[in-house]
Amino acid sequence: MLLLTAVVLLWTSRYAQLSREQRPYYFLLLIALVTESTAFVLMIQDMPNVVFYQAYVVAELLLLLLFAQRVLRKRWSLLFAIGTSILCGILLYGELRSATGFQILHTKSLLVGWAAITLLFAKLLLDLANNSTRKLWHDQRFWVYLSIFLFLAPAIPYIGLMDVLYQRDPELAGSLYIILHVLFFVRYGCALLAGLLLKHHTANDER
Amino acid sequence: MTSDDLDLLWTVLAGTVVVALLLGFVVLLLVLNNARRVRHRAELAELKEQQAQVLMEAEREATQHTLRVMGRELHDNIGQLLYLGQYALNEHLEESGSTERLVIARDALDRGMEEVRRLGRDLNAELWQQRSLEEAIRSEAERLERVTRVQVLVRCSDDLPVPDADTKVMLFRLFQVILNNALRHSAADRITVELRNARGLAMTIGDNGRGFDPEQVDAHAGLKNIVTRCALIGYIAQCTTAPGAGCTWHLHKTPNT
Repeated sequence: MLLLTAVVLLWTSRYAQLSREQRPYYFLLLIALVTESTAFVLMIQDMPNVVFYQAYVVAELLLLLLFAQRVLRKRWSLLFAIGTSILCGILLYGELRSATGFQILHTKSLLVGWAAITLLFAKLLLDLANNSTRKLWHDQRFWVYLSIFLFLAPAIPYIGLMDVLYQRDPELAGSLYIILHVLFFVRYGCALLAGLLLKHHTANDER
Repeated sequence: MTSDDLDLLWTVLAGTVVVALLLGFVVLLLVLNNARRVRHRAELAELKEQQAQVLMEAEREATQHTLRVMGRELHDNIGQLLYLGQYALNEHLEESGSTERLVIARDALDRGMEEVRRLGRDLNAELWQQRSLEEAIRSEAERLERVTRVQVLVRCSDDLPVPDADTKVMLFRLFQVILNNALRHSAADRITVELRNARGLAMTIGDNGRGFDPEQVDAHAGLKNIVTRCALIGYIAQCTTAPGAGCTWHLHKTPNT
């Protein structure tokens, strides 16, 4: 949470340099901080906080689709984003109706959404690598896209595997939660680097 | 191996594969970006070269314009003034009889007029364009022999190809630069110029001067300039020299042009 706070403070201090395309990403960081803080306070008071995480995951999915669509600005990407949102909505609705003790992290809808976003960000990274005439690690957008890609791409098999593993060996599954923490560290580490590079970034850099 | 161990092994294996794939993807991104940057650098270099050519063209046009104006001025104004002077002097000589000093003055004036006419003709770009490179080089060689004590020999083979206008101008300019270098630095008393057909027009300019150590003057801007200018017209310039052995420049077309 400390890293996330640092990232949000850094991005907020450089909000003026932020391009229109990257605003959904900034709002996502803000929402993440609010969610984490609220959940932390609720946890201290021994109150349930899962609902906040569930709301956050849905907001994250939509904001990342919006972000990718704003950067790609293609008809297919718009249709892809809308299609993914509808499909995830339908799957989530079905899972909500049939499940008891609902946990969004254990739903198929989340995995489908994450897989779609991973593909979009892989496409963004490939486009950037093919078009950027600067060194990739000097490009602020690289770290932004990488933060999402490096979090979601391994998180999909991890979450998928975790469900199976949890049923067979809950102890092992519990001990593997550290992977998720590492992924969060990578994600916000990349976001921090992107924030540091934000000073040199101009709106014209976006495709 | 127990079922738990197997589960753990599979989990670790799956994790390793995912991490390896991710690293592979990032490496792929870096490779693609590097290729793009290399392409970008090549494009920039090409643009720079094009810009240099445009600049050179503009410079050439400006020089030609100035020379044309100067040639016209020499022929029309200064030539006319000298003609008036010559006419008045002749009249005076006819009326008052010839004195030795006046005859010398008239002869000098005659030679001056001749030089001015020749200069005017040489500076006229239109006339220059009508002349072949061989004629231009021969004319320049004659002029140099007249104004210096250096013997300039020009040899041309019979089957000389006709270069395009830009190549002609550039080769002539290079000939002037190399000749000028020889006159200034080599203390040579004989310069030979050879034009021949070697899959395109090739030119060799050699002097019997003091030569130089190419290692020591390699970075000299003048020498580099000759090589760069040659490259602009698809030519290669090679300098063969050594202390006490004179200096010879070979200018010939790049094999793939």
